[in-house]
Amino acid sequence: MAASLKNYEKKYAALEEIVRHLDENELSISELLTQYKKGLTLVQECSQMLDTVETEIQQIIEEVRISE
Amino acid sequence: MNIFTITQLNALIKRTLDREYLLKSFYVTGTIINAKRHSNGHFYFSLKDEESAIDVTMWSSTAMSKGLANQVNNGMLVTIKAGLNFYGKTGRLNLVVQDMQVGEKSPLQIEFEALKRELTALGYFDESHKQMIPEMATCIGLVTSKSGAVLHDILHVSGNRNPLIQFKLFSVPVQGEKAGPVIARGIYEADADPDVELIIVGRGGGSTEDLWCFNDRAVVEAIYHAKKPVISAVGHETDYTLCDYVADARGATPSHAAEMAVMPLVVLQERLAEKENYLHTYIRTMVQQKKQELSALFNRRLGMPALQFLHGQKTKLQGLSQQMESSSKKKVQEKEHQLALLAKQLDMLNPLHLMVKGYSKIEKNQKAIQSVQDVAVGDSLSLTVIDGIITTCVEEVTSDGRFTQEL
Repeated sequence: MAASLKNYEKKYAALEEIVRHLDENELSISELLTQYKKGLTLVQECSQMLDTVETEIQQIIEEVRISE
Repeated sequence: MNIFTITQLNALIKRTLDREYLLKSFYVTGTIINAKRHSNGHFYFSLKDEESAIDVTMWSSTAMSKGLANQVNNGMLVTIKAGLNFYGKTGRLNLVVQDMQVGEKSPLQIEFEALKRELTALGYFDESHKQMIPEMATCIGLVTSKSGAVLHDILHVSGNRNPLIQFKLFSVPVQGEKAGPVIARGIYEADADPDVELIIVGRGGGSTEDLWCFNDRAVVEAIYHAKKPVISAVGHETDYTLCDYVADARGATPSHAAEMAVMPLVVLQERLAEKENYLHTYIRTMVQQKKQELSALFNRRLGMPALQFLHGQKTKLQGLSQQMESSSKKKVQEKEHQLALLAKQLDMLNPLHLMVKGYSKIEKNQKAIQSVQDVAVGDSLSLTVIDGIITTCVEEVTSDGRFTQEL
């Protein structure tokens, strides 16, 4: 879990950078599209990671409950 | 001379005695010996003086109504009001008590009570000094006669209950004037024996005089000072000696003492099973409880915080995603806006707009006319308007330089 979370922080930071870039800079339309697509991919990846971790935690909680 | 059957004889004796008015109710004084209380509550004893004795019965109803139950004690000098009763079936004669008064005490009784008073004052009989009888003594010291029935009774009862229990006999004489100190020494020896865990001091039933050595001060002191628990089993249930008072427990009879000292093997096994069962349950409950505690702790300190942290991350991610979405949209909208402006500007330049207002494109031989000098009277010109082409002929040309200044 630690490894994937570490990876998550990297991706999240990259996403923040893209949003800042979009906000602050005058971009060509093609660059805008490229950045937007990149950002969307990052959002999906991050979201998936969080879902995976959540499922894992729920499973652990359930296992602890069952082993009572 | 008559020849009687036993029944006839006994009937005759009864009739003769019943006729004697003096024997219906009278007073007689004597010392109580061999007192027994039957399980049905009736008392049986003998009353004696220096030379003679007679059997006495006190019905439980009399004992109750006159409050005499506690006064039937061996050695007690009493005066009873009684009637004579002859019981034909057994040919026995006895007195039936109607009332009783405690009279003078016998010398033995006086001695007994004085010693009891003294030792009571010294705390020899205090409940607080008494020890618990161990439930599982494995070696029991017997201070009794090697030839008496006591030894046999105790070994018999014990053997039936638990054949694994061991006994050590400290053989002593159990009656006679000099028996007391020897019994005391037997108790000291049993107490000093490292194998012995519990001591039984006893002898079978007998007269007050027979049991007297168990009132010996040396015996009382030996029991009092014994470090090991002592059970006293002297005489029958109705006989009380100082040995009974000082001992940690009293068996009504030697057999009863053995029952107190030896727990049946079956009961031991049952108890062991109970303990085992209890342990199993206890362990299971404890483990279950600890698991629940651990689980609750896990959920409270780890599970829930982890999920909360995760939801925080999700919210942040969602925010960032929304921000990107809106930023991108804004950028695109800006571009669209710029494009629309340009299109509008472009639109302004469309010549069709001029045609709508009445302007037309004039051409001569597919060449655009820009000046009066481009045409001459009689030239054929084509005028392109919004919905077609007009062909016309030049009739007049006037040059006045109308708009040349404005361009």
